[in-house]
Amino acid sequence: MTLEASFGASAPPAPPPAYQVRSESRLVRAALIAVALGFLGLFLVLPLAVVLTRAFASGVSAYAAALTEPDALAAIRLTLTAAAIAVPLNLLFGLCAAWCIARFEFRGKSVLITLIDLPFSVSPVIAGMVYVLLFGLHGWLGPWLRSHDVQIIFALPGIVLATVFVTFPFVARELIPLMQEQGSDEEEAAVVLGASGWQLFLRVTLPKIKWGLLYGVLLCNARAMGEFGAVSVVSGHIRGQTNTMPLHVEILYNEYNMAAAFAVASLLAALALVTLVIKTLLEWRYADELAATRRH
Amino acid sequence: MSIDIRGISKRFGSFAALESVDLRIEPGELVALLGPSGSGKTTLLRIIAGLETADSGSVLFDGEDALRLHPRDRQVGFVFQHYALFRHMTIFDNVAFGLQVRPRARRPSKAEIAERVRELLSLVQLDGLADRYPSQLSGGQRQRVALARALATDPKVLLLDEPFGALDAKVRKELRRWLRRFHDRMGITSLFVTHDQEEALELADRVVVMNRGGIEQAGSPETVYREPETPFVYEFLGDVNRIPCTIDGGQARLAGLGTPLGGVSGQSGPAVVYVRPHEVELLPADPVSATGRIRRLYEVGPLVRAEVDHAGTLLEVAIPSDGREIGLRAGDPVRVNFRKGFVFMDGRAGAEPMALAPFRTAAGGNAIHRL
Repeated sequence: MTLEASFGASAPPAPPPAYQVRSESRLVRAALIAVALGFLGLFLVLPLAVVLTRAFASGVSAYAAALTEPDALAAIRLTLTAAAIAVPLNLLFGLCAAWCIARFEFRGKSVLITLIDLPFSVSPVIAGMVYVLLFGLHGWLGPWLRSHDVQIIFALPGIVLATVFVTFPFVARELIPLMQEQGSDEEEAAVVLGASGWQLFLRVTLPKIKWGLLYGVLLCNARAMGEFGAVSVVSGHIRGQTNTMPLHVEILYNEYNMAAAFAVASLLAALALVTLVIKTLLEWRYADELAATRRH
Repeated sequence: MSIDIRGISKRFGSFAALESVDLRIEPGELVALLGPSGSGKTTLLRIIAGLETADSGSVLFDGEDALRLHPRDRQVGFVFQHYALFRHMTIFDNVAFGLQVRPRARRPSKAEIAERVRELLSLVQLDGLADRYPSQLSGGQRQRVALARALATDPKVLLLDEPFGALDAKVRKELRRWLRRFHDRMGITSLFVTHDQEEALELADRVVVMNRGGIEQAGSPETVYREPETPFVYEFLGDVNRIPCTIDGGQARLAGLGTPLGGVSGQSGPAVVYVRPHEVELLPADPVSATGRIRRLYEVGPLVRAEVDHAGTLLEVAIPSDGREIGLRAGDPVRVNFRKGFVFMDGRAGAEPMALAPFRTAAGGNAIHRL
């Protein structure tokens, strides 16, 4: 506009303000933001706030007691154990699957990709049922397992299996598009330069995919700790033994023990929030490196 | 090191990428593999490097079978079209990579590696950029880093896949000259792939023209340009006009009209005359003796280009103008004269091309007025 002024009175009439392709009118913008924020508030912030207020409704000491009670501690321990086994397993499986899908052409590749998505499309309850049918007392492998004194269903192995099944797609789904987009030029360059297979993976491929891998692992972890349906079928709900945190919450809730239920629920929500905070912190801390990796 | 390529074939499904290719590259030579996309040139380069496997045939490095060796043991430097720099590493680490991944027994000390990287970066004129990341460099700089990285391990052969393909015209030209001087200094056997004929002719000691998985012609840049063995080579190495004609009694005549085009020694029958735009002469003529009409004239730098309607075909003509008026306008009737051309007989692959001898005193018999 300063340019226009300098032309003075003899300047041709000012052109109408340029049409802004990437901007909408004030009203539309405000409406869109309001809808997004309103939705977020109604469906995310409000429930979280309710969980927290209900958790502390009977005071801090009741909250602490609900979390330090032996059954609650056992549930927390079991949840963390199951996640600690399932997440590394899926990290490994996801890496292998993404590697072979992104790097090689083979028969049945599209079938494999579809299969990886299966846990997303199948109800978790069915996943749990499958394991009961396989390893349960009357299942296919049940008698054999029983004669060898191996317990899978209603024990930690069953819970881990169900968790692995449900969280399988997270790492692979995050890595496949990333690796396909990045191509294998850098790997080829490394091979010609003399890198061994292991050096290739550690020094070239892993650094290239580490952010995608991290996101995948964080999401996988959040889901592993929060999984309810599949675990519910295989766990047997034995208090202090096979109850994970989500199952413990349900039991407390069904017993009208609201304060305790919400206390454990708030801890579960806090674990998820911690995951998100870690992710944001890492993004912020390594913003430059992240940008460099993407831009190239 | 010499490279001997013998009977290399490669298929991708039903597509034959290479069909029994033979080629020998002498030690210290700089050879261009020139061809359109899909001609197999990149596949050949990748087979030599070991990034692709051949279905049959052999590649010998100094007489030793190279195909048996793992790519990491071939001592080959490879420069990728899109650089393929390690994006998460600094320039220093990129260049040092080949040395750092060596087994401990053969790995130079940290100080030696640092010294070698410094030397290489100064060689490719990138001193002081060691701490940058690839994304912070321009395209030309990245390509030179890729070159330094490939040279760090003292390769016996340097392979470059479309090394200037992703660069803009000006940078490409500079880098081309630089690479030629660089090769003259280092003398390393080098093979590069390009689809740009100018690049191949300017840079290489020898040009290998490829088409449909085979070699059409291999020779010095002058030879392939001046004495093309096949119509494909002639067409690929520059702009060209194709004029259908018949050959009869030592004369090439325009197909249909019978207007004589020039003298030819050899067989008779239908043929095609290939003439480069700058070998066409346009003479002012009255409408009766004219054989063509200028449709359009435009100046491109030192040349005036003309499009001429000539017996139903459109001829491209290039006339050096030197800034002078050339005395022709769009719409003028002209007589078209071919100073030089090649005649390839129709449908006879492998037939020797014949030179078209111009009629200096044809038709009107006037002295030719050079434009």
